[in-house]
Amino acid sequence: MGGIKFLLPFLLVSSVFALMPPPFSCSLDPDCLFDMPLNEGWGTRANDYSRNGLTGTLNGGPAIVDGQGSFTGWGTETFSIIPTTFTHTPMLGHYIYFIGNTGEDITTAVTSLFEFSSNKPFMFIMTLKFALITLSDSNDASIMNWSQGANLCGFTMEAEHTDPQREKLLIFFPPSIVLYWPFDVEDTRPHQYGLWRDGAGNIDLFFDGKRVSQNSGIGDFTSCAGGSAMNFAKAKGGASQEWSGGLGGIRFWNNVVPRSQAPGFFLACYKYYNGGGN
Amino acid sequence: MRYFWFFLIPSFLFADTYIFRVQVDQTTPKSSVDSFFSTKGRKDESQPFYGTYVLQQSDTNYVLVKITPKDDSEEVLIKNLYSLPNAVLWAQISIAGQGEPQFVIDNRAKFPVDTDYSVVVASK
Repeated sequence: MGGIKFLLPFLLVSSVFALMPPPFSCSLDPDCLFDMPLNEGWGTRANDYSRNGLTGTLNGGPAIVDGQGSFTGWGTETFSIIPTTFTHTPMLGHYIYFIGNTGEDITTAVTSLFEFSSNKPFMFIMTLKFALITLSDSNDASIMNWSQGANLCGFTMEAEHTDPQREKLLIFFPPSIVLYWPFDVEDTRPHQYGLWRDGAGNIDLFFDGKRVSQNSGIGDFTSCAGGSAMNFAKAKGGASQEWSGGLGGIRFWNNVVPRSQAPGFFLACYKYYNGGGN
Repeated sequence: MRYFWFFLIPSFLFADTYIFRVQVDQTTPKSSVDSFFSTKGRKDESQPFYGTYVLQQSDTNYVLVKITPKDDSEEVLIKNLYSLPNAVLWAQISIAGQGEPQFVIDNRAKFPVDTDYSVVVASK
């Protein structure tokens, strides 16, 4: 009994810390819609540290990997990174590794919070590391879908197999908008992908804190009536398949910074993951 | 002598994870495969990779069983599955330490399955 008394203060303190958001969460940012760092390092829950608290569920047994695992195989791959600057974005703490097409994925509860109107401005960042493709498969793999399955609404982020050792990353806004990050992914290092979208048909794409694509005159996308779920590494139906690779921090903002300030914003996000500040 | 305990760690802690493609039909429906395996295998609450999963893809011909044996008897169970006509080894995967999963055996292309997990179909 004495031992329990001795341990009680420590248990209480550790419980409080367990409930606290991580030090750089966006819980106080009113425009932060979703903040899932995926770095808990244990269990089958993926916490959302935004004010919305949208807990995700790890399904099918994906692996929780220490952040150092993101460096596996670096010395053995042939790198051809565009932009030519040698960049990557470390995984902080732990991350989730999915083996494609085995039912491993993360699902969030169906919610109207993700029901944006067809021209709603928003931004997101997401840190991904690809597994080199071993399947001779021409279908696209779904990394994230913010939609209701095959109903063709919301949007999806997919990997398009262009070569057994290469992938293109694309984002698809139904009914017909497809934008590509303008280079193939040929390495297994983690990179931070970002998207900025205003309400006037402009969409900019970012890679490791750099703007790599500017697009204008983009039409509205199809809204999901009645709310939609955000899922990761989950097939959205039809020909799209599940993605293989590692997934780190994800943040969505329900608003955008001015386009002129977007490069600074995404560079700051990249620097945060590189230990360069918040 | 102080490190002697290391050699007492059970071998299952280093067990690989096996994924079998099991054929389902009228006599062996998905539900019976699920109930047979759901109580077996290692369960590690901190590492979801070490769990037993009967994957519910929409394929009506096959089901994938992902299992990490927890002891020697389940190693035998898995070896017996190799010889069953309705089961083939789809993949054998290991993770070392807290690293990424690595395929020891990869028969995914050889034994294709429906990969649309977005729709759960009732058992036959």
